[in-house]
Amino acid sequence: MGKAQPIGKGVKIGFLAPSLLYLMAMGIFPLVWSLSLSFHRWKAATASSPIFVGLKNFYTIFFADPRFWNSFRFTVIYVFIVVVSELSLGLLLAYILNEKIRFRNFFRVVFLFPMAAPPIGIAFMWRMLLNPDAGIVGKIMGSMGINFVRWLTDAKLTPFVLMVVDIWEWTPFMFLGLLAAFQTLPVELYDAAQVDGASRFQAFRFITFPLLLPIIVTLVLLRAIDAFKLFELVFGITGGGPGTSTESLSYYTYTVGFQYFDLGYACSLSWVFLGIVLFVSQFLLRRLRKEV
Amino acid sequence: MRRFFWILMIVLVLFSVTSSAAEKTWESQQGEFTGNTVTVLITDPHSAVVEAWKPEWEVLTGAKVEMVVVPYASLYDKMITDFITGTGAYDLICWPSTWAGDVMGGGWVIALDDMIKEYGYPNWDDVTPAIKTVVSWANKIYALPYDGDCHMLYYRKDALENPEYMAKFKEKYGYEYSIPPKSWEEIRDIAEFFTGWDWDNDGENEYGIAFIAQRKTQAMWSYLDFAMQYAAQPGVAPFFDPETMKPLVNNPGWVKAMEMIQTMTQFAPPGLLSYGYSELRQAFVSGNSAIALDWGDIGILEQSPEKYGSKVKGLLGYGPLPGANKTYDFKKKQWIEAYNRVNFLNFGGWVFSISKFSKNQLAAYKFATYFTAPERSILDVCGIHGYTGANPWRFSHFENIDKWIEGGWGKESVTKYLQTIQAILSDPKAVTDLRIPGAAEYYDYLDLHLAQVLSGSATPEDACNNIYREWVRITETQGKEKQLNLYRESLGLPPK
Amino acid sequence: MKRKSISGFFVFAWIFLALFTLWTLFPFFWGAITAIKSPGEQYSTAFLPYLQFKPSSYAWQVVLGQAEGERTKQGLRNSILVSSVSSLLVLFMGALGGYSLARFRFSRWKNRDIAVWILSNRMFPPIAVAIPFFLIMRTLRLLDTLPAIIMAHIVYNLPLAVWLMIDFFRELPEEVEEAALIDGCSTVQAFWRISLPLALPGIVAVYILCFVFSWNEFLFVVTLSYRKTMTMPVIIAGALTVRGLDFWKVSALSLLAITPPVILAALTSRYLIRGLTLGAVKE
Repeated sequence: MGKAQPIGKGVKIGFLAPSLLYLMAMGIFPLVWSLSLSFHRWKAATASSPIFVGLKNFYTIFFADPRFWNSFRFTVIYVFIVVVSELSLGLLLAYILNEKIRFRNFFRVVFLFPMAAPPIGIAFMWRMLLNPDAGIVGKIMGSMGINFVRWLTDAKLTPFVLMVVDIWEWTPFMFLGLLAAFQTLPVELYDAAQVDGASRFQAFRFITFPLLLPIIVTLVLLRAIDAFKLFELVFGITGGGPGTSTESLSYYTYTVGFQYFDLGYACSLSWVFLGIVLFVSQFLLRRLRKEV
Repeated sequence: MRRFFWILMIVLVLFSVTSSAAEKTWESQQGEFTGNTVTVLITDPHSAVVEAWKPEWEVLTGAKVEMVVVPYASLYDKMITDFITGTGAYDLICWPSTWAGDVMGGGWVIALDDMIKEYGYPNWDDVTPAIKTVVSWANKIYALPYDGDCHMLYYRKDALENPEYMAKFKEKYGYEYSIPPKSWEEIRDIAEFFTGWDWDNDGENEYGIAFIAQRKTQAMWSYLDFAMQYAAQPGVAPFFDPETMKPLVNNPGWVKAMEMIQTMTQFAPPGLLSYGYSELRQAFVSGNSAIALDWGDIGILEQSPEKYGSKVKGLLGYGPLPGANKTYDFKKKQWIEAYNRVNFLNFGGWVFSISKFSKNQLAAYKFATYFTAPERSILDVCGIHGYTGANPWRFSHFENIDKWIEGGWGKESVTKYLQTIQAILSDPKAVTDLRIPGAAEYYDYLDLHLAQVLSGSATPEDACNNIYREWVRITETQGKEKQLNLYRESLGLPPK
Repeated sequence: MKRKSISGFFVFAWIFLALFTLWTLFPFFWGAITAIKSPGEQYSTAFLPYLQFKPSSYAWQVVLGQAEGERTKQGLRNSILVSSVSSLLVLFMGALGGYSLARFRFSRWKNRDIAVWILSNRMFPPIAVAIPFFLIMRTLRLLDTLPAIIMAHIVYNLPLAVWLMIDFFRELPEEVEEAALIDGCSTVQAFWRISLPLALPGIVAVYILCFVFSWNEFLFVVTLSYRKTMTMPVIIAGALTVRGLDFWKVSALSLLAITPPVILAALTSRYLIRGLTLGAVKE
């Protein structure tokens, strides 16, 4: 990072201030509110006032709430699989479309479509495609001789169906970020590599990838955070079922908060959620930065 | 000058007469609410009702009606957020009465008894008894009825009433089933019989029975249709022991019902577990099963092939919920080996309530009574206003067959359909839905463990025990004493 | 980028692109088909208009006509306003913040910690902040106004923008700026005249991302708006009613909703490429 430059403190602060102040102004109150509520029991819908319960909510979450652990397991597996797949696909696409390929503008735009559509709409659209009786996917597979597959009704299969939809929807995010990064790469390095007779794969592995790593870390991090918050697809396609096989952490929190209006417990869950995501992001930052 | 004086007097007298009349009647008066705004919180398709009546009421009273149309899935949180923060953005709220425990029991909406006494109500005697129960809480009226809701049985007449099939059935099972089927035991056999072959000759194999089974689409009401017969008796609700607030969900009656619904999944279309409202209704009206359980809605969708792709117009028979050949008496802790049939008011219907934070309570009251008056509400339930989500709830709705025919029904169909619903709603011993605070949470856990049974990852016995544990926990979080008294209140029993 | 094309790679690339295009477009294609079917035909497999089924404008009449049409149009208008304005503000704050964290060294806290703190604002599940936001907006008397939603979306998007900007600015060669500083530019000028234009492709990308995220955000809008400020996702969610899901309606609404971001992406995609040829990076 920067060599020590004679930059005034005021300028430094001045650059950072707008973001920092804004986030503080808008962020502090919700944080305090939810943190204090997480030590209370408050069934808000029935007009009773919050009762202080200390750490009981957190105790319940960790030791007496199988539903939490179930959604935790599902969410972690989900995040891992979708982020890895999206990163690989996104890298491949960005790599290909960074080349001079005919119609590449067309592809660049087309591949952004899934990300641009509201997730709610996407969830509903996929629900239509996957409809077991009348959905086109089932009919196409049927015409190929593969008879009914229980995508939305088999507890072992449905999580993967959601992942496929997620990959469909969010690969463009990786693609876009990586394409932007590819384009800031200094070209002369490649020319040098070319001269040295490096293969395409070698050039990618030893030149491009290390250069891309910082942005990859950032993209993975941002994508992982959003994947953790998986909500709309569950909400729109499966409702968490069959059984509880696709109940994500954030969907569970939503259920507790906005359907049971058990706001104290929902706030505790949110803080645990925040803890998990912070932990994972720290882990990612350390681990991936080290591998340069 | 004299003439002018007289005219003035007449005008004054007329004015005072009309204004004093305005104080006494529920009928909206000319220009009565000029400058007021009534804000209605509502979901699609119920918004169609308000949209239909809004223009003329606005012209009549000079008020403005603002509609806040929210997705169904966020109605509850929108409403409760407004309540707990005391914002008061809505005057009139259209909500499903299954939330009564939270909304009425929470004291968020005003009791209407005084208003009804002061201003009257458009023909209270015309309202069916079941619906009167639905809008009341602790002997007070907290909501204006607008919709009658109960599950009923739909069956394919071309299957169940086909003499050839009936003979084959008798040969195989050794008895004749009733039309409409009268017990779950019969339905089990019928469903098995009609599964896996092409009984309507359309080139595709059909199945026996379909119901809502997807998680979070209120599949628990399908299960409750079973549980009512095995674990409740007419007039006796099966949820908690009204003496101790001990949940009854793991008693033999509930477990038997759980086994029964699990059995049914073998005779259902393969996509059953992903059947929410839309999937079920679409699948059934496109003709893939012999029997279905639903609210009055399939009946309406049946009528319009062009709008909903119905292939079964005129082919559906209607019946009340089937009973069971035995039922469990939780007080005596033993099975009663006799036929038992309970009418159950699933969901309880949508109602309109006035927020206690509202500043236009009178205008809201008059608007709601305006469009729920007998001669207007008939148009909303019979299909003339299209699909509004409202099902018949007044006695006059059941009598006015002509309007239904105008709404697109065949005469024979509608007669049967209305008879069936009327019988359920007029039953004074119909069991109402669970109506205590936290009902949404109790039901969600019921739904969750039901989903595990249906997907085969839990046994009925375990699931019922799990539900029991969760219900105990929820009751304790809510406060056991309080819940007990509210539960008794919701059953019309004196507090303990 | 002059390189002899390795034909094997290009064959693979083309096959992959073709498959991926098919995979990406098929759901949209099906949505478009469904949106021109009559409701009665929404479940049929017919996919060739005029040949296999008669196209119907029913869905569009419902979605754009009468009372619902008013709502749809207002939703589109709101969505465009909210997304473009909130992303612009995010871009402004994010560029400054990202630049400062990439280039300056702060003494009291480590840059990394500040960045992580900023990012943690995005990690919180919206459920936990929805009600506090509601309370804030009520106090400010901003409920059911566009500023309330814009403010909420800034909180949601700013962390993303700052983080991406940090990386984009870090990628830039520092020598160019240093040269400018030696030439007598102030820090602000160096940022404004040198770094910002250099990072333009990245900035455009961030703008698109923020725009899309804001465009698609659901929970905040549902909590903070009543009637005048609903955006498209909330209107789409409204298609799931107790009657069930009307696929023709969802399809029509979704198609409407994806159009503006796609147009934006299409327009800026060209801009992205020009950003590449600005020259300074290549020297």
